[in-house]
Amino acid sequence: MEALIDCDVHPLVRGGAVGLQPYMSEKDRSRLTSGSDGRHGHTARPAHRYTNPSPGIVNGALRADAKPPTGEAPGTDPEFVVTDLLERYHAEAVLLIPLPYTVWLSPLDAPTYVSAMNEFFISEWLTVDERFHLAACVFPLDAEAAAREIRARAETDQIAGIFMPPIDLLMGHPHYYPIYAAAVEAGLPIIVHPSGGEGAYLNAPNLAGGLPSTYTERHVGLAQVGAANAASLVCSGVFDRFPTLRVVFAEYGFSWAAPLMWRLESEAARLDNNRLEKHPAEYMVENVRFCTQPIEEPDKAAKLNRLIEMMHGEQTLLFSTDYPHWDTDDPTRVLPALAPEVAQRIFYQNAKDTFAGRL
Amino acid sequence: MTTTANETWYRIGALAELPLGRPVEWVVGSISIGIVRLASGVHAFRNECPHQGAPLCRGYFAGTMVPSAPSVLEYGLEEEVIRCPWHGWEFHVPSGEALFGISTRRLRKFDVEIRDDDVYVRVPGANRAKSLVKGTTGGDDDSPH
Repeated sequence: MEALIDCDVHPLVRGGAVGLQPYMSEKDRSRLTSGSDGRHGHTARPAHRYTNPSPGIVNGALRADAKPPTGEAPGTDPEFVVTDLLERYHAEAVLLIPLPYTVWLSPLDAPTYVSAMNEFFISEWLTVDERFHLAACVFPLDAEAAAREIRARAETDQIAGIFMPPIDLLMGHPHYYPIYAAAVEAGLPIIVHPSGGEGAYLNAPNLAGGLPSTYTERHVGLAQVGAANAASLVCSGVFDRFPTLRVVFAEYGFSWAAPLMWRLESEAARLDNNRLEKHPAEYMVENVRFCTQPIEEPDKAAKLNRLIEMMHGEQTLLFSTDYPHWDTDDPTRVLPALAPEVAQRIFYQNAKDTFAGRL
Repeated sequence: MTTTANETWYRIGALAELPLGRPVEWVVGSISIGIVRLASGVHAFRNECPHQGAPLCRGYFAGTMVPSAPSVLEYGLEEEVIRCPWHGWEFHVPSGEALFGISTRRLRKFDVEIRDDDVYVRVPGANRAKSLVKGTTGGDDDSPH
C-alpha cells in the first residue's frame, strides 16, 4: 500500500452527552446534560428503528472487532484508533467526522451542543496524533450559527473541513448561503454524510417513495439523498455563486454520479442552462467529490474501473474506510485493479487537492 | 508440535478446555486461526473473512435464517454459522461454504485431529510457531441506539 489518506473515520464521544460536560459552560451543562446518563436525557439520541439487525453489531452500527481493549464502544479511544487504523494501514492522515445526532434538537440547544463536541475532539483527539484531522460539525438548521461556528474554527490546526449533517431541505436552497460563504472564506470543504436520522427523525432527509420497511432498504437508499443534493447544488447555481466551494459526499456511494452527470447534461441543457455558467457535469467534476465507501462490488473489477472512468474518478473519488462502522472498507482489499496512477490519486492525491493541504 | 516434510501439526490444548460453541483465536506464526468445538466435532478455519479480511472470530456464532417457503421465516443451522463482524457475510463452519449463494468464496479450513483428548491442527506452510496466543470471541449484543 502506497501513501494513504482516509476521508471518513468516525470518532465517538466517551460517555455521550455526559462526556461533553467539561466543554460546556455551567449554564449549558445544567440545561443540556442534567439528568442524562449518556443514553437518556435531553440530548440523548431517541430510539431508532433503522439499526443494523446483525447479531454482534455494537450500538446499532459498530464493528465488534473495533472495540478497544478497555471494552468501551468502538471509536471512543483515540490511542486505539491510532493502532487499529492508522498504523495498520500506514495512513498519512485521516479525516474524523463525528456524527452529532442533533437535527431533531431544539435550535436553541443544538449549536451549543455541536460547539461542545468540536471542542471535545479538538482537545481529546487532535492532540493525540497529528495525523488526526477534524471535520468540525455545524447545525444546518441555524445557518447563521453554523457560519459563526465555521469562522470560530477556521484557524484551528488540524481542522480540515466542515461536517454539515443533511436535513430535509436540499442543498441548493438559499438557506445555506451563509454556511457556504463562511466555508469558502475559511477555505474549508463542506462534507455531507448520512447523519443516521434519515427516514427516522424530525428534520432529517426523507428517502424516495416513502419509509423503507427494512434496514437494508434504507441503507441502500441513502444514495438517493446524495444524488438529490448533488443535483440540487448544480441546478440551483450554488457553484456559480460560490465558485471555489467544494462539497464532499461521504458514504453515499458513487455509482450514481456518472448517470446523474449525463442526465443533468441532457436535461439542463434544454431546460435550465440559462441559469448556469458551465455545463452541469463540469461542476460535478470541479466542485464535488465522492468518497469510495461503501464500495460498489460488481462481479468483475473491470466493471468498476469503467464506472470510475465514466465519473472521472481519477479526479472526483476520495478513499474512505468509514471505520469503525460495520460496512467498513479495507484499503488493501478494495479497488485492486486500478491503474497505479489512478490508485495514487484516489487513495491519496485527490484528498490532498480537495482539502488544499489541510489534510 | 510435530513436523514432517510437508505439514506441521500444532497442539492447541485439551479438548475439554475448548468452550463449546464459542470460537477462540490462535496465532500460528503469522496465521490467525479460529477454532470452535461443536457437538459434531472441532473445526479450525483461517480467522480472515474471504471478503475483506475481517477477523471472523470477533463476529457472531449462532444459527441463521435458512431458505424457506415464501413469507415463512425459518431459523436453522444453530451453532454452525459464523457471521463476519464487518459486512455480515455468513459461513457454514462444518463445510466452510458461504451461505446462501452470497459468494463462491469459502472459509479456509484446517485439518483437526483429536489425540489422547488433545486437539491438534495441521497448518501447511507454517513451519515455525512464533507464538501461540489464545484469544476469545466477540459476540457482543449491546442494545442498539
